[in-house]
Amino acid sequence: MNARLEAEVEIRNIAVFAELAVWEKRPDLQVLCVAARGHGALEEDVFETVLPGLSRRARANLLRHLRYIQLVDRNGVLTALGRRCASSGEAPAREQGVYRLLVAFHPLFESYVLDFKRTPGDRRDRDYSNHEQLPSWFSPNHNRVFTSIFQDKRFNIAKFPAQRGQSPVCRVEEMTTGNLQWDIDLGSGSNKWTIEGQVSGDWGRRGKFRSSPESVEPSKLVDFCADWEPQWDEQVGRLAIAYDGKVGQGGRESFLRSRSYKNKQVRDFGPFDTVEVRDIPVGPATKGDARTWATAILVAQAEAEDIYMDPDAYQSEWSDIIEDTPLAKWAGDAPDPSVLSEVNGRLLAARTRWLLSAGADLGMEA
Amino acid sequence: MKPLYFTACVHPKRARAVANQAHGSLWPYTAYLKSALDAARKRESRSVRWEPVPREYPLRLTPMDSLLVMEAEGFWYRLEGWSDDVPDMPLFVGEQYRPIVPKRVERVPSGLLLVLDSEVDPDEQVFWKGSPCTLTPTDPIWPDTLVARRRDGTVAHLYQRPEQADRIFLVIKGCDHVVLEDKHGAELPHQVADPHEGATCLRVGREKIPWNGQRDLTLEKLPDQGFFIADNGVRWAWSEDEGGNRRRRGVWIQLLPPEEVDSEAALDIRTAYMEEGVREVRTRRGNNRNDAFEVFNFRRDNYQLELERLPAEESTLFIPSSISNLQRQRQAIFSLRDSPLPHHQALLRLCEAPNRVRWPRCQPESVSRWYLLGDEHWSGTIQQREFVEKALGTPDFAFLEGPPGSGKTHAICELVLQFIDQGLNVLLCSTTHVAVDNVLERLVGKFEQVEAVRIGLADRVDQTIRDVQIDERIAALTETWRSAGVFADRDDDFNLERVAEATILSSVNLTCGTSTGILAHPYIRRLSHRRENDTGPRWPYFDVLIIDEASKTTFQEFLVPAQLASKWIVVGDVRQLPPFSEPKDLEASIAEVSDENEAKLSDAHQVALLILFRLQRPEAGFRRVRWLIEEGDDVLNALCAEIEVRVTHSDRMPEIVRVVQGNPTDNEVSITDIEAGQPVALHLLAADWILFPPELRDRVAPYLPPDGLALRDWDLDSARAFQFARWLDRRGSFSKPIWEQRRQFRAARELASRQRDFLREESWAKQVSWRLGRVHQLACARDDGQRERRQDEIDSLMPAVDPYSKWVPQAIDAIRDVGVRSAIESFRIGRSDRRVRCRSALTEAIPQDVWKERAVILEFQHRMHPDISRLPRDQFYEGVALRDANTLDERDKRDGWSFALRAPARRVWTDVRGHDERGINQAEIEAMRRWLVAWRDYAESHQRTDGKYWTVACLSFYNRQELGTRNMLRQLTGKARAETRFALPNTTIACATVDRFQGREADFVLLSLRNTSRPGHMDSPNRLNVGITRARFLLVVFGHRKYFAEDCPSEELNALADATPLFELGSVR
Repeated sequence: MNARLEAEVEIRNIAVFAELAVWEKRPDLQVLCVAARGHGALEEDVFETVLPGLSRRARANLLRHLRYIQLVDRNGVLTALGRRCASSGEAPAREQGVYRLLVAFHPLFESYVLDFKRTPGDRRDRDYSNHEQLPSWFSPNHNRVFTSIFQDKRFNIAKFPAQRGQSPVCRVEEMTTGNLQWDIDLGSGSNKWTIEGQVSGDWGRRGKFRSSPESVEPSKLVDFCADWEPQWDEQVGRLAIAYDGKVGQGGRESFLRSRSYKNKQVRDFGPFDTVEVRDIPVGPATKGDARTWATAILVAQAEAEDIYMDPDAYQSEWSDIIEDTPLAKWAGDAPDPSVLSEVNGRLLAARTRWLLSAGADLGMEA
Repeated sequence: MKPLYFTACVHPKRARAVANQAHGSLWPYTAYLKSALDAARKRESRSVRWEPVPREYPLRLTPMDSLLVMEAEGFWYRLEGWSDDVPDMPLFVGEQYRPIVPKRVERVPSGLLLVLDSEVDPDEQVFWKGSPCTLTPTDPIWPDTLVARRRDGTVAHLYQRPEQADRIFLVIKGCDHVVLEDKHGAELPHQVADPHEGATCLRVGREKIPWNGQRDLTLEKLPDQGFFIADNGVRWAWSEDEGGNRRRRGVWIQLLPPEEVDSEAALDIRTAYMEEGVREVRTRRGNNRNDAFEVFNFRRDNYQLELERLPAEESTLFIPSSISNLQRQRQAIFSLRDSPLPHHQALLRLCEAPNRVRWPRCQPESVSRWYLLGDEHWSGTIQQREFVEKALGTPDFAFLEGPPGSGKTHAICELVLQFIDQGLNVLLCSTTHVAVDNVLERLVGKFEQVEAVRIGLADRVDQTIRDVQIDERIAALTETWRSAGVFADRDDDFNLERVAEATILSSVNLTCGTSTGILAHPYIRRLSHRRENDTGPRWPYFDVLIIDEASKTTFQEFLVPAQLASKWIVVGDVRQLPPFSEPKDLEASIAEVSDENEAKLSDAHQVALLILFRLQRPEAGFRRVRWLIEEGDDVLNALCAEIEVRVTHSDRMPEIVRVVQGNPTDNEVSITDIEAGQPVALHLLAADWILFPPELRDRVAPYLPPDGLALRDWDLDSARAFQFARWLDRRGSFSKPIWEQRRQFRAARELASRQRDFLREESWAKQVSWRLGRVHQLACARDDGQRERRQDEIDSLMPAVDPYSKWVPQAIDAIRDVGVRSAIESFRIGRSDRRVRCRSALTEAIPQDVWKERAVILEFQHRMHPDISRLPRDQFYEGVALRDANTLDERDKRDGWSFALRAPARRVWTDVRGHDERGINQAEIEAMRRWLVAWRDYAESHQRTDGKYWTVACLSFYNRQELGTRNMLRQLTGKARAETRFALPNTTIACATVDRFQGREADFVLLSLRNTSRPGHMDSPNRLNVGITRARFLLVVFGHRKYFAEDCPSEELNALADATPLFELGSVR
């Protein structure tokens, strides 16, 4: 069972003074982070093994540098950023200045920076009046690493420096929208979301973009289906429905259904314009539904096979239809074929009735 | 986005004002750099001739022996006449009967030899076993027999070097580890020394090569035998150094001096080729790759270049204009003006209006442990400490002003160590390699906490600290990594060198380079990849910038590294030479002078101002001859407008008449009226200057007075030409000659020709620019006359008509500030004139109270003999600095100086009545030669006590004289190819101009003044100060004594001549 949730998200072009780090290839720091992962913490004596040729002071300075860029903590233990460095081989290189940031907003991720542009000061720009407070939902988090949609670069934002006692200010230059797509495997909780859209103006020639996939902690997605369907039976992991007449040709039945919903609020993850859930396990809501459902399958199979059923075959077919299916609990015994004239309000054709009941009738004649 | 930058830097309420102020304060810099860039793009350096250098053999030396040093322990005394047994009890010393147990007692023929732990004062009484005795200090006595035993027990061959007072060197044949024993097998304490310690030369056969221990050596031929023997006894094997893969080898060429050298030049034009920014030379203009030659390396001392291949024979070389330095400076100014970062707050404070700016307090930070300044009884230590504490505590700037030899480098070293203790990352920059390397030499390898990298070409870096040069460090680290298999699994595009570079830069705490060389730093290179006006985000990689020799660094040069730091320590001396500014840059900026709205002073107006300035001067025969001025209408309009405005203020304006085509106004005559014979034509006869445009020349010519001198070369019809020529010939000579400088004009023809040449060759901008330079050079001169004259001339070159009069003078002064003032001068000394458009600390200086909190002046000098320092102390430092330090006491004895002790003083004058012929005063060079011969005789038998070579410098204020001196030195030393470095027994000699020698010193300086009838640029107090403060033991001035003492208009030069006793060479011998 998986779901695709879609929402239109606001994308803002925010110019702000920020301290940002662009991740660049640092194989030397990578080997140190790998070593730190292996040893539990990075100590100076590890250096000689993985990065020989440095003096004692150089090793101490390098360790201090790793702390400074927050790849290891005060005790030399790898941080989240350090783990990232160990696996990607990239490390942050800090810089400060005004950036134009392409920021998407949605409660799913609060703010997500799609791209950054370094922006010089323009000597002709003397407009001090069009500054506004930075939106409250846009706060820096040095642990969050973004991937630029138009450049092959990773980056994170450490802070928005401002004068003491002052809040950071920004210029919101233009707005557009993008489409958020969130695909969730509702079974395992694994999920990924991306933002697609098109940026106008001078941002980039390749106006269309799709962000790198991001995900939400799977554990946060438990019982997700019950939010949308009150009939969801968590115990059996199935949605109880009235028979919907959707038995396929030949009587094929997967007991899976897709549902779509409009304008759903998804827990803390915000509103979504559409939610499409595919392969929802379903089963009958009542005994009657179960019998109707099973009968409909039986009829469809008989019509597809187009052979006469003797009473044993009829009983065996019924058993096969309900066994190990959501119908088993309530379907009961097979209906009497001689009185079976309609299923779910549909009158059976004479030939169908004959196919189902002929065996019995002929037996009686014998 | 500029407002967002400023809002992050300063309080939002002040952001707009600060931004506007920064824009105004930095405007002169941007304007200047724009013009300089335009000029540089058009300009190419003067070409130079060259010749190939014979092949050289780079050798790598490896020691074949090891060197041990044994140091004497304790204090050695003889106890004469003691015949009793050695008492088993301490000696009792002094009134307190202090017990001293001898460390060692030996019986010698005359008594006993005692080694004590502590010193015994000669006046103290000594008792041993109840008997009074007399201890006589004596030199240590070394064991008769020493045995060097290898680990395997075998005995190594050992021989001793002559003993020094308190230590003995021992050479062990082979490089084995040994234990040193006496004849009884007792182990003797010793240390392993560097195998080159104490060595000053290498011998191979009969040849002796001066040597300071470097492992790389370049010779013109391979040695005949397989090893050298250093004069400390260690043998050195040599092998040809192929340089490995990391070093490209090219061909060396010798740049030759130009055939015609400007006799007034203070620097050799070849110096321009010896800069790190020079990556290519060309033989022809254009883009043909075949005419371009990549520069691998250079040798500044010899003016040699290593090129990728040999240029065509007989070709000349020039440097394609390099604008990257100027671009970096401009980018740095733009960055501060448009995109300052929060750590630039203090730099912005320099740009703020003096009445608005608030400087934070500077609280000195006390130091708990001194590394180099531990002993405060040395003169100047207290001040050096004060500076270090201020620099540690300052939130923004600290300043150290230090006269020559005052211990600036020492203080910088201590400061670096203190910053490193605080975990800070330090960037050290200076104008010269020597200054940077001096600091590194004192720190690297001596303080383990210093992890340094030197940015700059490997061959420019002093041998002793070559290991920290960035390429060498990268090579060493990659070699280690390769042999250890680090990164061995990476693919082919993995660039190990780049990784090593990043590792090194992240692991150092001291980065050093020259102001030019530091531009090659990867962090600055990153910025240089951006467009010039891309002043976007960057990062303060360094916590602190220490800029040494800030008196030779302009503010815009300072700003390039400064933007990468968040605290700035500025070290320099405003009384030494200012930054070298390319005269063409200054000239170009003046020619392009514009106001903030980019309105320019038109070319026509500049021509008009030049004509007006020139023809008004007596040397152009003002009011003695009549000038016919044929110029375009725009020039004539400007000229008339200027005269009209000035005539009300000055009675020295010419009577003019302008011939026009249409209706005449005041001072104008219509050509048709003239042709019609109207009486107004008589105005032509009354005018000093007759003005007309080229298109009227043929029409007006028949009516011009025949005594007019044309400012342009005329090609009139033959009859008219004959008329004027005849007059010129008939008029013949003036009754009273017209003088220009030392040249006299008796004939009108010569005078006219001279003025025509002048106007053809000169420009208004050039005339203004050299006067600006002179005014600045003379800023500290005691006699204001010269400076005021030049300033008056500048004023009269300024436009008087509106709107130019409102902004041109201010803009010109601003250009002067930018082009010739140093960073420290801008911070320290406010501009004295009133013409400042946008006031800030850059024009008014940092306020006195702020300066005092952050600055220290080092008052003591440790270099010069007191006789030498006295004059500069009184003349240039008003007696408050350059006081003699106690480190100079007994220095003669310590270093073994005994040359010319009969001289009446250590600064003496050798009177030479020579004369300057084409820039060379040969008589002075000959007098210098005689002194050097005497020195050679002396030095042959008198080594320095510390075993190092004596240093001698032959200095002059002029490049031409330097070349003459060089030729003499080539003959004297037999080094026919040497350029600036020569050798005599136990002596190295440097030949340089004073400008080039700033920042260096020598034991013995011979200073040639060359000029005999004018001061030239020696009247610049700063230049003279540098010239006479280079000598440690002896300064000999060569010059025309009478002229400098009596006739020279410079008070400083008069004082030099008056206060320097005469001493002739005969008395040396």
